[in-house]
Amino acid sequence: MASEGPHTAPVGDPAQTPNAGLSEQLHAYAHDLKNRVAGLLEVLRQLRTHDPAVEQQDLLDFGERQAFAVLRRNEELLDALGVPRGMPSPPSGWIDLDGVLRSAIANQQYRLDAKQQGLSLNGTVSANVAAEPRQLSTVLEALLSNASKFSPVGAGINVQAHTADGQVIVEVKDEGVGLSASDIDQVFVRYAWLDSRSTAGEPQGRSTLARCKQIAAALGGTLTAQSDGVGKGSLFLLGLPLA
Amino acid sequence: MKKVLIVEDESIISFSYRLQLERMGFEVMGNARSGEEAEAMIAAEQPDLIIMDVYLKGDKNGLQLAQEIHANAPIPVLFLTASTKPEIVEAINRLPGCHYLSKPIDSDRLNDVLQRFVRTDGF
Repeated sequence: MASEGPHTAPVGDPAQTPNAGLSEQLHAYAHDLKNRVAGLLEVLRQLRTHDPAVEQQDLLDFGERQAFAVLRRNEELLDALGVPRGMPSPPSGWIDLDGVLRSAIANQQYRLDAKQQGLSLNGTVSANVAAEPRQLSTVLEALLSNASKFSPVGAGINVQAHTADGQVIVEVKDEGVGLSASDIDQVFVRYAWLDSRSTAGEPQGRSTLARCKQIAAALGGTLTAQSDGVGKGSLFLLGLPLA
Repeated sequence: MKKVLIVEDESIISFSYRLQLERMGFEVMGNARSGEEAEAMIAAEQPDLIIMDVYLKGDKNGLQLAQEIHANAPIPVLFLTASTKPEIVEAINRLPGCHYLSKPIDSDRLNDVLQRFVRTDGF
């Protein structure tokens, strides 16, 4: 006869176990994962059958959506469980934003050239900010890359910097596809599925901007997005504390 | 032309890296499936860049292998790993001339990192 106590709960009754909350979370996770994997297996099955009634592009889009849903679910679970992941390093010292910004532009020039996009740089960028150079460069390059990918051939990209309230604000403004209201809500969510599409079929990693926001926060700053809507371009604002 | 060694045991994945590298003008000198294979290939011919996972087939992990390689030559290593464990990320950041990208690899981001490597000889 079973004795009393939490360890004697019937097998299969997670609500009675000491880690009921964790168990529920893992069950929900496993359930979601199985559904997404089932979707991916279905994509593979249909690709093998070459059924002419099935649009291959629809199938690929569906498969990609399932894959990103799994990745997003992973992040949600790890967040919920408080599992630490590779966090951005704290600032390594004061660095000149101008040098990092110009280097980031140089690194992205190949992309701008490929789409014949012009970049204008205006305002005060000669400011010392507390940062780790490689991470700051990652953020700036991601914003430039994003502006290029979501803008058409020949479009202009404007980078502007100014100081206000002890911060330097770097603005990256494009004339591209813009963001719907729902996209703005999701643009910094890891592996979220956004409606906006890159204009030349460039890959959309769907986690870079979330990572950038994390880096900005680790530097004591902010990263936000604005858009007047679909087709009306986007504006990303990076705020960093001044020395 | 810069020579790259890929250390990756999944052939579909290494083939994908190879295609991207060759499109960018790199010469892929080979694909090692384990740390031991990588050591033998590096001993025969030194690459300009190594692309590898942290978890490898064989006795050594990628971090140990990078440390041993760096004892002889400071070859830059780009780690492509699914691990986001803080101790792994910190260990990579401590290795001079090394960088990492988190899997699944965004080919566009890989392109950016490789473009920077070509332009500046580093990450």
